[in-house]
Amino acid sequence: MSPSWDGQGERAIVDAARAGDESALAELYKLYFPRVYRYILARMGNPYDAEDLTEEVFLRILDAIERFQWREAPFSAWLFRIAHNAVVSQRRKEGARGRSSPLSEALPVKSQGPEELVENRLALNEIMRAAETLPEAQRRVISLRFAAGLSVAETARAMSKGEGNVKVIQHKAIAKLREMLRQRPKVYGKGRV
Amino acid sequence: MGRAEFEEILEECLSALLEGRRSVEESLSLYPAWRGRLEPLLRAAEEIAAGFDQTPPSRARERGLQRFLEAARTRRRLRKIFSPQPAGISWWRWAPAGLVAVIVIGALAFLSASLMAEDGRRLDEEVSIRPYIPTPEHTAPPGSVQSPLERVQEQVAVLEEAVRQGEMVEVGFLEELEEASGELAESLEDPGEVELVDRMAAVSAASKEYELLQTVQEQSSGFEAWVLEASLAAAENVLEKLGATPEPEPTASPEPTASPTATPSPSPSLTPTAGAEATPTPSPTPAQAE
Repeated sequence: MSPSWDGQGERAIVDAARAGDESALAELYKLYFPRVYRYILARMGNPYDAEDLTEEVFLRILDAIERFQWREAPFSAWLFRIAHNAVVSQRRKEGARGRSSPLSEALPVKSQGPEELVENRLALNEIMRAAETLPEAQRRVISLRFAAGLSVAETARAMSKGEGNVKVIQHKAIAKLREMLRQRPKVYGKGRV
Repeated sequence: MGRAEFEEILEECLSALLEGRRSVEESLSLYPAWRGRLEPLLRAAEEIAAGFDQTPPSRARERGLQRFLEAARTRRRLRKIFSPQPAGISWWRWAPAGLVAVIVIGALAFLSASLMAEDGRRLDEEVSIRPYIPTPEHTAPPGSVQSPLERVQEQVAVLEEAVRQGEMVEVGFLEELEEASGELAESLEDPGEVELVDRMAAVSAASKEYELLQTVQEQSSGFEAWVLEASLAAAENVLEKLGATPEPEPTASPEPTASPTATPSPSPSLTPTAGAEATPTPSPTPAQAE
């Protein structure tokens, strides 16, 4: 889930994208779209919302990329701040409309066989249900680390926290999720906890 | 072994797991002393990572990419349209255009000032408004056919000059004046059809004619008297047609009881016959002359 380029490669592509280079923009999109999608899906729980909101996040990126400064944060941290803000805005809108975001039966799954497909859907549903009980900071750290694939350093910059603080939050979140997953009924045979 | 140290080891094992560098088993073998605390956390992390490992639908990915690139193109076009000029352009690149602009503005200012000054001069000029006085020169261009009014006006002007000079008035001239006055009277058969200006001019000319003929009559004697009477009657006829019958002079008004020695003078309603009846002198009237 980590990006397929090194720091210098990312910097070159981001700089080209900031200058309006279309191929660089397309490259950024291809590399970050799955991560942004997973992050938003982890936060929202609905694949359709995740698709629409991911598109919106990239349009926001397009508007803001000229103002991006390397000295402030890594590009990924900057990008996932935008994604986080989009999630918060969406939740605010849904709250105003009185709409909850129930876990969808149509949660996307990897292209696998029917048995694995069901297992993946159940796994994600269970994790999502468990994650909903976490405090916001823990849920955000888990989403950034496990769904978006950010490093601890990047997560810390995205959340404007120290790395040590992020590690502690991460540890507590995993331990809590483990407890919740242990209490689940064994509906499929891959209980590894 | 402190908590911070464990946090570091856990993070190192999690990063290796999430990045696919090591499996849970490999990490546990690297840190056998921490196996009891590490294993449940790493197993849970493995399950969480598997649950979040969702691939977005390819159609959503492609649709989003097209919209993203189209939006980028739109923004680039708008930026080209509305972006300010680059700051690096030297001043001398604008100098020719600036110079031309200054010249054009200066020329326009000069032209405007000139026009305003011309207008000022025109405003300062005195404008005289003269009343319209029909004269033979005005109403009878060379070669054109004269109207009766124009002929009368012309002849009255000649008569006036003759009287002023004290010259003799020939009988033929008087006959022409009578004829012109008669024609003028005929043209005034329906005064409503005559323009006001022409009516005024006719009144003026006939009045002048009548006055001058009286003067001539006073100074004449002998054979041309009857010709004068005819001319006076013609002028009077014109004035009657115009509703401007001349007022009789007090001293010349012939009373019915006038003495036989009274000076012959036309009355306001003077007609040749009436004038003859009122005149004890042997001066013939036109009717008598005929």
